[in-house]
Amino acid sequence: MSAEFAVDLAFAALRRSEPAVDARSDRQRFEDLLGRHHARLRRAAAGVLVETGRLDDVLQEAYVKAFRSLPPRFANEAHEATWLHRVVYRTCLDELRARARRRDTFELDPDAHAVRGADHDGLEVTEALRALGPADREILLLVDLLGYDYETAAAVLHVPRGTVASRLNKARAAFRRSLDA
Amino acid sequence: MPERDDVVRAALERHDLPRERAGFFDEIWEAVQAREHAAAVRWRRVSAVLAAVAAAAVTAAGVLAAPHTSNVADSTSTCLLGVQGGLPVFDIGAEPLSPPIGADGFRIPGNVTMTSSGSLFDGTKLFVAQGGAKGYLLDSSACKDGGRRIPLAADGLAPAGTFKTGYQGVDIRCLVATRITLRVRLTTSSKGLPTRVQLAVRNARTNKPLAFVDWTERVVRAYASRACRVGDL
Repeated sequence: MSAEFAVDLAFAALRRSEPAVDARSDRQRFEDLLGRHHARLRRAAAGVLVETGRLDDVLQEAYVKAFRSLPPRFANEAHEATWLHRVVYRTCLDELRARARRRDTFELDPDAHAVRGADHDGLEVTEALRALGPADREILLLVDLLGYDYETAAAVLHVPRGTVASRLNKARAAFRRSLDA
Repeated sequence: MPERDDVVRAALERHDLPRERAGFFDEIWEAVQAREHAAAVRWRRVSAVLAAVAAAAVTAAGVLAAPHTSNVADSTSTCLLGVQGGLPVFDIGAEPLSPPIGADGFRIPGNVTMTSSGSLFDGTKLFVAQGGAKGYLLDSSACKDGGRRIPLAADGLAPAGTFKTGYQGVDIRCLVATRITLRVRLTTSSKGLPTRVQLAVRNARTNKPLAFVDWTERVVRAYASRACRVGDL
């Protein structure tokens, strides 16, 4: 290891171990960030998870991760939105994997459809979302519900722009089919 | 701006969104405090070791430092992996530079990250090098200098993908070894920024190759043992 690397490493480590003198401003920055994006992130997370029983827990986990790896600055609002959505999306995927492992996902009670007439529309949407994969749900939510462009959706999912366009078309068609069924 | 599908949007707006529970944000800050306390304890241990290394390095700086030229660091360590779900685990994530994003053309830097005890997001960072950031991070509390010298080559491994500038990268996850030999060769520019990272991992007990990543900002080549899982990043 060269001297330069060792010094960089040591200072990086020491900076991490020092009391966070800038903690207040970091927290303020993060709260401002959430103020700008929380409502949209919550919408997107609810759509990806479909079942919203643990929505608050998952979002909290995502925000803790995001705060702990908060970059010193963002190039622009699109960049911060992309970054936050990606953290939330990845945390949702972790939750879906954990849910599959736990095998404790609850199926909707078919009788509930009849009883909860007022919620019927919402249940149809839930079923239609459930028919899609998580990545397709995320694309649909980012573009059609939240109004982001293809580039943002591509950056959130780490796929090429063309893939977003084609998957969006397929997801829309599948979603509409499920709603009509 | 792509055209939105109004029928789909109207339907998605009807999706059930429960009310946020009281104290939602307060709970986040409590969790942050708890984790930062745990991280501070861990880093205090690491920094004590690194400070000693730095002091030794500064003493030798007059001989070793070669400012304004590219530099190569080549180290071999033996690392004890953390456990997740009862199994020792490490993840290697590698991704190239992203294409320009937004009007001002900002690009997300590429990086090579190795974690243990969890996913790339929440695991303990064993190694991190990132385009645009000087130097690298190697957790000396988990990795000790030394170990069998291993080749920086993909022999015995299956290709896990080649990724050129874009949004895609690779995530290699192995749950097969408790102790690994990690060799990292990092080449930096005259400004100290990583230009190439070669990272080879072997099972320290059996010396079987587990993963090899050859990273530059423009191209990432990854190889993994068939005993490991390869996913997208």
